[in-house]
Amino acid sequence: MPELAVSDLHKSFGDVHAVNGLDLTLAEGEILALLGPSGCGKTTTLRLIAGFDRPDQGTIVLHGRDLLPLPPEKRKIGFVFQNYALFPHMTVAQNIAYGIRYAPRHTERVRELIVLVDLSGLERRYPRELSSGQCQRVALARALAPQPRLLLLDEPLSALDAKLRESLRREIRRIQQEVKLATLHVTHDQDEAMAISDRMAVMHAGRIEQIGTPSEIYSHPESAFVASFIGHANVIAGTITSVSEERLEMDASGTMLRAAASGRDFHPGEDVLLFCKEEKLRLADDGQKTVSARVIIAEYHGETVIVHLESRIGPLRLRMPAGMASNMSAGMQVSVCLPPEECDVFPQKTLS
Amino acid sequence: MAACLGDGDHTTVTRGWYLALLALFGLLALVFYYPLALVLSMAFKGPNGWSFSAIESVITDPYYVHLILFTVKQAAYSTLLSLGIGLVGAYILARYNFPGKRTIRSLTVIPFVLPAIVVALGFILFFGNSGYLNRTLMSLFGLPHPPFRILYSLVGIVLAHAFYNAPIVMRVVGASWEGLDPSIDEAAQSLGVGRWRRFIGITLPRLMPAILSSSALVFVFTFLSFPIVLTLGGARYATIEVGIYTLVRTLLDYNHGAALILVEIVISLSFTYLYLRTEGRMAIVTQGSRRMPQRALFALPVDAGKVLIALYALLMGVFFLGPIVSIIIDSLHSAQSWGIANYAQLVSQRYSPFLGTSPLATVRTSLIIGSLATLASLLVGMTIAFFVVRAKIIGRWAIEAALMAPLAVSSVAIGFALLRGLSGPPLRLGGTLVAIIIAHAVLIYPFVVRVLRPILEGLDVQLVEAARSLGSSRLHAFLDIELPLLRRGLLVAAVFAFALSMGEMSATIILIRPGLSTIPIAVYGLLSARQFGAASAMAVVLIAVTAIAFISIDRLGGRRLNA
Repeated sequence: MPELAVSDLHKSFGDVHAVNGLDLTLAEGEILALLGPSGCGKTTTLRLIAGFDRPDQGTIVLHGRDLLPLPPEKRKIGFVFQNYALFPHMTVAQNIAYGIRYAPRHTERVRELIVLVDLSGLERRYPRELSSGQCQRVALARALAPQPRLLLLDEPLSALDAKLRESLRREIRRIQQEVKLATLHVTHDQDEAMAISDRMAVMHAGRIEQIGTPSEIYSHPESAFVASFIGHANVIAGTITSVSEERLEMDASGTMLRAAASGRDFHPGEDVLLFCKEEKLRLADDGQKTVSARVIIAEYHGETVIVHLESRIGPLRLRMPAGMASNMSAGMQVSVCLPPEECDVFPQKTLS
Repeated sequence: MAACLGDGDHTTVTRGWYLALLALFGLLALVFYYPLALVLSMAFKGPNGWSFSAIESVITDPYYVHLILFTVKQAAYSTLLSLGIGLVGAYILARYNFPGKRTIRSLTVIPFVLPAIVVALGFILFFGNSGYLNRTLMSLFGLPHPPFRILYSLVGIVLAHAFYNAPIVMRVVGASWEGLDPSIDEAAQSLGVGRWRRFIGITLPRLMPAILSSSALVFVFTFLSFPIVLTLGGARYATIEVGIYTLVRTLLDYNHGAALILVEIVISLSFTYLYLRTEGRMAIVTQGSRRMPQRALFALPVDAGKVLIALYALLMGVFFLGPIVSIIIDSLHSAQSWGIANYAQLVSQRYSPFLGTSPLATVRTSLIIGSLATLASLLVGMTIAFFVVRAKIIGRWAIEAALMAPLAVSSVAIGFALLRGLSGPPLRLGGTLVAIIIAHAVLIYPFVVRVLRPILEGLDVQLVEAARSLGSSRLHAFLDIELPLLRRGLLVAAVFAFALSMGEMSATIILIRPGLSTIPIAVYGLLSARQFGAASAMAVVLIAVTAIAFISIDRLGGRRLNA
């Protein structure tokens, strides 16, 4: 039995359908990243689960118990806010102790948690005397203190700088593993989602487009939205010319492109979009099926170089190791190959 | 009535809001809506049932027309003079730096809570024909007659109103001026625009919301001013407020009194509306990333501007301190000798014929009314502030306007409304202390809302959600989180409320029965009987109580919760 089961969840604010038929399950001890662009309904989903807002429709069951009749304080859910929401008039220790202040032996528990989140020595500080990274650790410890059944993280790292974000997300992962707590982590940062989660769910327009392990979602997007949202893909519009058992052929501005068949039904003449991640594009020898292109600029990114190209099928981006790109210069003519097995094709109308 | 927009968590909050609102409206119906409606309905009654004759005569009879026009005239002059004095002060506050600036800025609050009757007393003692100013000038220059004969005239009323309201202009416009983004002015300067054209074309338009907003506020205050006009207007000059008071208290002509209230509300509401409109716009204009550059006032070189500022400061010092110092001096002066006789009498006198009771009983009555009215206005004001900030209910705007309605009704009118509304069923409180406490609470709670609202708006609602996800009920979240964080705001509001109640005279004088007296009523009674020494001693007690309340803000709550 899943720890958390959300089904057919709906929530509108006026005319806006913030959450529109969302289904989600979470196993015990699992960390699931809820990933999506801003406004896709991910924070609303968390707030509905926490009980801060009431859904229009749907069910939320935690550990076999229907949550909907319960007010937030009865749900046994820890919530970590994007802006920390630490109580400014309480010290670090008082903040952490707030949820367990009537429990026996709560001072010991606070001490444990302070060690767990690595805040020793700061117990008597006030939130205004802490750095933002320290604030986020306090917020995490405070949410963990009452031993909730579920932890909800609402973009907990988005207010931090890049370096701190990376170290703190490893920390969150470590702590989550230590306490083996089912966790729902909302973020708009796909690196963060992939690095931290067991599974991730990509949300779009109030519902989940795809749910799976990070590598499944990265390599096998199941919709045009996921293909365009995850990673950095080249998008090429075209029309299907032929369909066979193992491959699709399409015409893109007069150039024939191929993709491996994905089990989806297409018919000749259908307008489609082809997605190919920029690191999957290759410079080709003449023998292969290629697209000729002209280099506009080669952008240096340290380890890799992104080559911006102009071609008959539109602008293309190609990412290659920096060592192999030393001879790339503007105006140079190259041949580019889009490996069929790395290309995903979706009907054009699905991407709105 | 209003439908829930869906927000607000579960179970408690939405239903809680409706219950609180219902209770609030029920309470206000008893102590405000019903009494006001009862009184206003009297405007439509004549000797033989329903009629428009009272309203008709109020807007056509030359006596009433003159009364209304004079009220508008004195308010307009008072606003202009307050603007004149206040804008210069605002300019100095915004552009110059000098020691004691913060003190001066905080002193600008004082006129707001200084009881009007005290100001009137100070003016009589200082500016009166045989007041300290005239006496000093006569003996200095050997003049046979007092050079200033300004009391009991339009000039006296306007001057006293400016004493009161110029600091408001100074405060509001000064804050806006200091917040202006200097880079806009610098951009104009780099384009070669001269100093005066920059002021007219660039600075002034950005100050306009603040100027308009404070002008509207001052106009409403002076339009509804009662004790000043009552005492400084003499027999010849009366405003609508004084007219209502005379009709209700002396002539017992309730129908014309009610008709005058109706006219007064219409005029003051339109200006209140203007004030609220312009105040809302201010937030947008006053956003500068950098501070306005400021010059040190007490540093070389001395230029013409600084000399003018010194002159202004001297005049203002005399103008603002003179009346207050006069009261203190006069309180130490009785029957041609100096000493504390007035205070001794205040403590020992068993019965004063001018008060109808003993001075000590008067002070005690004021303290009782002040404490209970403060408590009541805090409870109502806090509930409304919470509603306005936290509730998400359709029609909130209209509900808010209805809840803040007492702001638009004058103190005398509220006194009159409660005199009629509370005497009969259902409450039957005519002539009691409770009626006065209710009147004060109704008058004061809108100010409590105004103090608490911005603080509550700055208080992140996620703190409440965090507390609830940690197992606290809504009530406990309020007690553990919101209340401690509001503590300072509540203290400030409490002191304001207490000071306003202690100084309230307009509604009180209508509601009070013989044998009962409050400090402002006593000051007025002693003043009318020309017992200046005793009146001054009473006024000093009032100033002292108010000052102690203000100092205690700093002591009690000023320290810890500045974060």
